[in-house]
Amino acid sequence: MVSDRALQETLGIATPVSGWFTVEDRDSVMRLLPVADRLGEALLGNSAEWDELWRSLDNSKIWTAALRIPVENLSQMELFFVRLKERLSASSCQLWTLNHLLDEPSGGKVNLFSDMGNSGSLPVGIRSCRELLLRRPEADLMHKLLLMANSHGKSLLQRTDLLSVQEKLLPLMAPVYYLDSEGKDGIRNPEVRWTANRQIVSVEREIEKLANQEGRRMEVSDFLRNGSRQILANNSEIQFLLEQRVGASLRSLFFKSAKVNWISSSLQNGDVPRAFVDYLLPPSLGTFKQIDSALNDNLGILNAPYDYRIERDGESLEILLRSEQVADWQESSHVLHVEKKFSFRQENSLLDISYAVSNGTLVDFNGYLGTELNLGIREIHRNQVYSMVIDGKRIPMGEAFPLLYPSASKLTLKDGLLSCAFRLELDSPATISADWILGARGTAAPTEIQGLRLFVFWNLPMHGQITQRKRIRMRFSKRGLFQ
Amino acid sequence: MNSEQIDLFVEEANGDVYIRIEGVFGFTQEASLKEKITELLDSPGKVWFLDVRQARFTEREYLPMFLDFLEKTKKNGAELVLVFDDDGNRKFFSPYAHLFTIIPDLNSYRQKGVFKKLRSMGVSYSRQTGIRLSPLIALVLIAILFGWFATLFGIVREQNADLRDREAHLAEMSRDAERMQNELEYLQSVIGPLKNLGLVVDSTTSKKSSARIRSWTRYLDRLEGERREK
Repeated sequence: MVSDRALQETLGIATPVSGWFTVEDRDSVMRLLPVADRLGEALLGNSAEWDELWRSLDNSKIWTAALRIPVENLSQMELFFVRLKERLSASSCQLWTLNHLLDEPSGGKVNLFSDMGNSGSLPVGIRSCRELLLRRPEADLMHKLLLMANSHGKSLLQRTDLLSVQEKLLPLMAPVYYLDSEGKDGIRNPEVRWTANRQIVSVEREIEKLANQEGRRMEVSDFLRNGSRQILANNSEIQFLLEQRVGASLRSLFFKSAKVNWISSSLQNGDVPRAFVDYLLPPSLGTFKQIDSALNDNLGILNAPYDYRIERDGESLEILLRSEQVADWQESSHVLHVEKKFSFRQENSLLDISYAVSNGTLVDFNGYLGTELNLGIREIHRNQVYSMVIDGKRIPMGEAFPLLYPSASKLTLKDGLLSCAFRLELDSPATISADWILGARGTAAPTEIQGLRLFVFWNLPMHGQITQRKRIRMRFSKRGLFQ
Repeated sequence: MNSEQIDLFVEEANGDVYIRIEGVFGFTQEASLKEKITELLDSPGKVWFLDVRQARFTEREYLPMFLDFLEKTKKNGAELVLVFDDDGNRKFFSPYAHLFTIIPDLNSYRQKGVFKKLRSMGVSYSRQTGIRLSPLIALVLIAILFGWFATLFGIVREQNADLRDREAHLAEMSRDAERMQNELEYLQSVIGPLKNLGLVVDSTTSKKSSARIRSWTRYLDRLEGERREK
């Protein structure tokens, strides 16, 4: 429990702080509960002071008070409780236990300052490694993948095996994977991220082998150490980290045989790269540019938290996510009931994603329902090594981009150097928009290719209470060959 | 949204499902834990492992919940195995420990072949009879039983050897007797013609006896004389 004034200062805000926050403490998460100092004082103070404070408090929030009970004197203790009871019963406040407060979603992460100086290639204005992790999601993900592999090793392996695994994790703590640099010495370089992901997946595979983990797995825990749970799903070929609290989007997607994390791009605006981020866009958008700017502005983004459920049947292991999402555009809000499902089936290199979206209102409208994927792409010696094929037609990525391809059913993207590839199979033809994700290197203009943004969408009539169903199959191959 | 606060791990392999829960479970987590586990138990599975080694239960209401889980798996023709090895959970589950199948860790279950079969038989018998033995006691019992069997086997073997010796001795003696009989017959056959010629004197045909028989009156006299002397 910390003073709310201290937390206000740390967060750099002037308004009172309520709720709870998290802070990283070595390999674990510590919860910070701000205590309203003035509330504690006013509760036992005179009634004018209390009334003034009571009026100033935001009634929609929960405030925490800490009071010292005078245990040394019985009569004073009695008087204390009598006064407290009178004060509370006179005000129309609802009382909760601290546990109730902790069941509410976290207010976010708090940065504990540990000054690292200005060397170490930290971004301007950043003084600590923790701040770097907050500001650079690539380095943060690297750090969390490292911790994840370490905790997997600790929980599954015997001492000698664990030590050998930890030895392999040590090189991943090298500064190159955390420096905020776009050169070959920093995490903003796609090749550095590719090498890091390759090493991480090698270690995870070794842990699986040593621990005899052969089956399909789902793990719910706070992997990103931000106070909310994520779901880590694994089979023998695929691993993904799903953030159900952020629109049930994927934070990482590994294809283990090829040792590739497909979601590893770095975004220019410092946002976290994700895949399967859903949008409901107005159908008035006709050109690539309009769609692209709508995506940049997060127009109609469906990123409200989902409730999850893990389901099994003989053939599949699924995560069923349900939520009510609101898309805001054209000065109106559209309420949707969304059911999103990520499934592992018998075939290990296949990820099945299905949507059931229904209009939660009685008003009919048309909209583009789509999903965005930010994929990590490497440039090798300034040469493109990737090839894209849509419905059997080869797309010259250099010239064709930005691309708006109508009515596509199959999209294949292949890494020509490693031969690994993935294929998106859509159950009904959709429009695909594709363009490079660019980052800056040395110059102000972003010219460096960091990744590829795909947006797959359908134009759907959303009639009241009618459910629209869509399905995307994502197949992976080590050698670029598909059945 | 309470389910957000539960750390959960689910792994499935070969029809077995392993579930691990972590954290401190108080009043507020009860409903969400029940919901999450019940959802999972509704799906197919032969053996369900529920690992509570890293879980602490602060409310007694969790016990009936685990009994419900057990009932549910039984209804589905499956088996529920609790995994823990610490005093806290042992104490918590003690009122119904005889109903649950409890193992200290999963490694023994992951063994293949004979050991796996033995373990599953053990689980099955334990469930049917309600008798549970700790590995140490089981080892001691096995050692005692083995000692008994070894002693019994030793005794039987020793007696067998003794019998065989006696049989051999008997056979040898029979052979000797037969040989001697043969020799006797041979000798009789050799001396037969000589006896017929009266050249051989034996107890029945000796000169002394015949002489005695011939002078039997004198013999009677002597007998009479001896009687009188007495």
